[in-house]
Amino acid sequence: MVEAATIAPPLGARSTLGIDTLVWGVGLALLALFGLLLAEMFAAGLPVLSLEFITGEASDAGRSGGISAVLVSTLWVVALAVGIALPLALGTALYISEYLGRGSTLYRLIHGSLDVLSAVPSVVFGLFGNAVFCELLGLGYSLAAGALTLVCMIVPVMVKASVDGLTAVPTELRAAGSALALSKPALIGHIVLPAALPGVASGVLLGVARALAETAALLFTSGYVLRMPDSPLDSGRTLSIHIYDLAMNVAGGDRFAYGSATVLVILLLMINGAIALVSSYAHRRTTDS
Amino acid sequence: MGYLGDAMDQRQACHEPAAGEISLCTDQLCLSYGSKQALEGVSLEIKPRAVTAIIGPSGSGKSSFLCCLNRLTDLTAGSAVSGQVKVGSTEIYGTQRHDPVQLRRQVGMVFQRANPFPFSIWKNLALPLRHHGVRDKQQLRQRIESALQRVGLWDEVSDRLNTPAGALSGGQQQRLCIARALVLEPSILLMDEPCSALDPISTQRIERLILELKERYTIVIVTHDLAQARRIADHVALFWSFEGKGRLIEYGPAPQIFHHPTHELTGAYLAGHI
Repeated sequence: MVEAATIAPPLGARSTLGIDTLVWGVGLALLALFGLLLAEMFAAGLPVLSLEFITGEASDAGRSGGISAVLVSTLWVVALAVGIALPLALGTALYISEYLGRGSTLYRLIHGSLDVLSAVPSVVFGLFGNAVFCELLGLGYSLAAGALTLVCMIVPVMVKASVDGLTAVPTELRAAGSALALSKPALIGHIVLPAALPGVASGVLLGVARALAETAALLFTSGYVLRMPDSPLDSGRTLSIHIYDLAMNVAGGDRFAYGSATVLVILLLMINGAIALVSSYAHRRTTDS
Repeated sequence: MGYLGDAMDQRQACHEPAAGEISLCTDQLCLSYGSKQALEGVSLEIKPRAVTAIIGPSGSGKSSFLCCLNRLTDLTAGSAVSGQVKVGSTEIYGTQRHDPVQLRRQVGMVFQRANPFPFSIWKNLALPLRHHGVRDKQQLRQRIESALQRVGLWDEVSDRLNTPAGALSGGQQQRLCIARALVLEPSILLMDEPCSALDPISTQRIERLILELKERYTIVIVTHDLAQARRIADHVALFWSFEGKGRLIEYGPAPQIFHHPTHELTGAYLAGHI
């Protein structure tokens, strides 16, 4: 017993040290990889950025000029997709977590479907979108068809994150609200949703990020013509498709591909910041008197 | 208004309430969660404007019984209630189902752990009031102040009503929750081990409060603390678990239960033999 007692602590300490090193090592390696990626992109992309690049019209297949048409197409697609997906996803998430019994068959069915849907490769959504929105609904290659295809892709992601946020709201709060004779809509509106806001916001962010970064699904639906769209029913080229095209199909397009990628990342960071701000403002508003 | 000795196999019809009093009584109340039966045949008549303590070992259905009284069992999927629960002259599980929202205005509840909303102290109390139609600022202020005064919290928090309720001490949070339950002016107050997470000084404070509140409210309190039941209860009901089903085995005035229990399990439990 004495022997075991004297041996055990150093062994324990050593194994803890090993795990600590491993965890820190992996963390630092990932951080370094991310830093390297950003550094390489910014090094090549930042010199390209200028007012002319953001607001100008593209020329010479994107090798020169600017990306205004691409930015407008991207904003149309993302705004439409998120605008349609958000109420759909929030409604579904509320229905699943607040009205369906956790043990019910429908709950399991919807949950299972969401898992499968969020794992479906985007190219499959692209083919589906092309068949349904472009062909069947007659939207043709258009920003609207692209946005509707993105809705199908991001709703499952948003629903899952929102359901996680809603189910994480402590049962005690629901019980307290019910015991105070709050009706179900009031309980959801005043207690559950504000408490679940961070989860819902992260769901929205995931959806926006996926919509912004999507290439494959949009190639089949919104098209890749490089021109300024007049309406969502026109076809157009989004940022990620522009980057793909410049990098893969246009000789000498690398410099502007890096420039566009830098704009994409900055846009993503700005949206991230904006969502964090809005969610913390909404949280403050509901928690203050 | 007779008590039940051994209530296991007896039936008791609920009596008509006296004028001006909201009575509370159960008759052959059974509760199950899916295939598991949690309560079986509980019949008892709660005395108005008095403290009734529900005691018994863990798993004997005390908290489940409490949740039947304001239909909080509705929140648990798969729960089923049979038998009668009468609040005043209304049969809350009857064929003409009582609206749980209306019921819970009459029957307030305080939980084991203080559960203030993540809002300011003011909003914790204003939210239920506003929801039930109190919009006038003056009236809101009056009712909030009076609820906080009733629980002895007004002097401690009147200058910081806009600070988050979570910043209060555990005992203050629990008193805020009691104030929140009282702000709707219920007739009956259910308390599920309200002091179990509190230190002795906060416990003493809440016990004093309960004794004051019984002048105006009918209080049903679940407690594991037999000494607490001795200190505050006017009537005591002992629940026991038989093969996982909670049953009422003895109910009567506190002095009788503590000094002359009729059921042998009561005697053994109170003496700490089991």
